[in-house]
Amino acid sequence: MNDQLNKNLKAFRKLPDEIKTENAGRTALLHDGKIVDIYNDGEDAYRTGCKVYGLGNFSIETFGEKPVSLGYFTQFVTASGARA
Amino acid sequence: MATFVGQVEDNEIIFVVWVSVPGHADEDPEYRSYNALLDTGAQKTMISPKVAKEVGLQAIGHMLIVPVTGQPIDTKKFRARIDIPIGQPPAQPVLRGRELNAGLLPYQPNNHDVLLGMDFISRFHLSMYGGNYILSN
Repeated sequence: MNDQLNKNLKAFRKLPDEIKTENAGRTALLHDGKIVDIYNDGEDAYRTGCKVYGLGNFSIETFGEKPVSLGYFTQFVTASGARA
Repeated sequence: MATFVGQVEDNEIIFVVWVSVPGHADEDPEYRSYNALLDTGAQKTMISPKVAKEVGLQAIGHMLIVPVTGQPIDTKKFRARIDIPIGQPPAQPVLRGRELNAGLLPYQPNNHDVLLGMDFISRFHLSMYGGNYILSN
């Protein structure tokens, strides 16, 4: 599964900036290092992935996704991801 | 309306949640119980590595979180179902939760394994008064 995730993330990040900008806010369904389709709704991407490939055999990544704040816990996460 | 009342202790709201693999909304899911911290300052719900491993959740992608330095870091996101048991077994009622994408905490917290963020909390009525909290849906 990690291979699938990493391969898909690598492919997602390699996409040209124009595609990323054009699809900001939309969600890509990826399988085996390729983008299968792009959806307006992340839930649709997830459901299609489950139906077609099965949970664990695909990934979904959102274009232009903003970093998430963990509120109080933000102060405990270092740049490496470890607890401060 | 199912209602859950608890005490705010040490200025934290921590209670037990059930975490299960999604896809069992109308059945009895195979769940595991974990302590969850309710954090209205967190935008997303997060789980510890222990939860992901023990429940057998599947990673479905990545998300970015903001660490103390301000430079975003990558973490995996998992698909999970989270519900809140209330009352006592065997006829244990449940505050119906939801299926959601939960991020992986990059560390293991001391007193909880789930961080309930606003994506989850906003589904409920939450009020606090006199050192108690009331959660209902």
